[in-house]
Amino acid sequence: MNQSYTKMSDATLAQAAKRDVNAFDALYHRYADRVYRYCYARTHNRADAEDLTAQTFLACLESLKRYREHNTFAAWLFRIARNTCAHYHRENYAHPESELLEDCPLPNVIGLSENADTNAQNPEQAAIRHALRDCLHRAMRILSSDRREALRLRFWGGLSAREAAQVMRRDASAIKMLVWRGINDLRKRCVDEA
Amino acid sequence: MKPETTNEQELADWLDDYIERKSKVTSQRSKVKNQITESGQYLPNRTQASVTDMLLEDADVTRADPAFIAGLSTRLRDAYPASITTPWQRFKQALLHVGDTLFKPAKGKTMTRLTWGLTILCTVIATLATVMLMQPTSLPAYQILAHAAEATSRQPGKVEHSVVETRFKSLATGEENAYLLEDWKRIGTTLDGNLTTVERTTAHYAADDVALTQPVSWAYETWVKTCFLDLRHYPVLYYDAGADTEGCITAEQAVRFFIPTPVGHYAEASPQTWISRLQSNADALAYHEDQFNNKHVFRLTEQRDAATLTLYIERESYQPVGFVAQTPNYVLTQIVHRYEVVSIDDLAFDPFIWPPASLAEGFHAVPRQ
Repeated sequence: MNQSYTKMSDATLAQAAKRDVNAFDALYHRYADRVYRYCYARTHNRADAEDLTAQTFLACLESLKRYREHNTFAAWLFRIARNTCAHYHRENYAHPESELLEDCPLPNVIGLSENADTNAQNPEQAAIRHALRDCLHRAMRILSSDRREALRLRFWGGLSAREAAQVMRRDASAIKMLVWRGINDLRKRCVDEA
Repeated sequence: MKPETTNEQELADWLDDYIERKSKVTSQRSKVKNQITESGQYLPNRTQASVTDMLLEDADVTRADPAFIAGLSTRLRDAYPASITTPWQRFKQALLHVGDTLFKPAKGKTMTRLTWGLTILCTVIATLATVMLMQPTSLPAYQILAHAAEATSRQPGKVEHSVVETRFKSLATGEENAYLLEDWKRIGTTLDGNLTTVERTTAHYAADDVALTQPVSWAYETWVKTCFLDLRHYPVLYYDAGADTEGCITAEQAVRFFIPTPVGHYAEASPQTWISRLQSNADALAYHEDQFNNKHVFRLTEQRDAATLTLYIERESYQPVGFVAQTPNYVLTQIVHRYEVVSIDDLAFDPFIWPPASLAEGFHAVPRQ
């Protein structure tokens, strides 16, 4: 990839991308993985996430001439991704976004707050971390939809609170609050109650 | 959403700052430990840090297949010229391509191409004849309409969502207005048990903005208030004079795009209205099988007063996919891009949140002069 593109801002690249395929390609490589991660967080399925990523970028290509710098490019792109994923969920009733957690026993993660260490080698701690990760995956699905969406955009989409706010049409402080409360819900579900 | 306490907002800010710092550390694959976590300066509860860290790690290890990334890049590069060029440019390219194929055939291959062409033509004709012979007995128009009514049936508590392209053309001047309308309706019941729209949010988009990326205006209606914001000059949002700062008025006067009569009232109609309008005269209704917007459809036509009303119902799904009202002076065309009746729980967001004054940072709302 041309080195000059890598140094350009999103806004400059997006303008250039309207007439230069290489600029579009640079934008694509900048965001492809993040869009994929966001789609994966919504579908939990690699093939579906790939389809949705492809649809998102094709829609982006179709709409690029309409892009204005009112919102950041990231927010604009993720709004397309969000619409694409939302449409996918409505079309695929066999894959509802929310699944009941009640019949899945919660893992025992007592002691996590004292023992958790990102570099844990101890098998017991590794098991605890595995159990926590498993619980978080399932607990994410029963979060309220706006908290879950804020977490996905912030963590998997890698958006800032301000960018996520533009995608969700809220203000940044509301997004921070949604993330805070979402994390607290997960903590209560997977740590406090365990 | 308003924070419950100032303290909670401060904690939310701290967490956001923590995520920002940690995600930078993670993305840079730094070996440096985050001192914030260690000292607990920012987060009062370490379990929150653990949950946050684990989500960040999870997100970080979710990676797309490099082969997929490379393949999609090629696909997008191939699609690029077709997407960015105008329809006229694409048409010219197609003509040139056809010209090349017709007038510059490779030597010695003319007969082969001709043979292949005839074979394909015969196959197509044979297939069409078979399909036509196997067609079931045609349904009467009233049954088609009954199926369409069933395919668009709504229940209390459900949300009706549609994206409809409307084109209005004056035959006298040739002037055409077009827009896309995304419409969300929450369905409820009246006291006497009839279905009604309890809440409605609509967003107008430019006709070619099929990905619904830049709303031109937003409106929200309930029985008690009507709200409207003009987003064309975002981040300056305009609301109507006399409305409050959220763009709302308490009267039940809807704010709509102006479309001149006599076909203007058809623009506000829903698929149910189209169907019931034709159902009232179904016995005398003529219909034909046709193509509309690349779909196989039943085309039902009715002459009413000075207007010719045509409803297009998709053959497979019985979903209405288009509606045309024509008078001697005007033509109104509506194309349904999306129609669904869903449960609010299936939606990833609540479409009935108002005001969009909390749209994002950086805007300010002012009254229209």
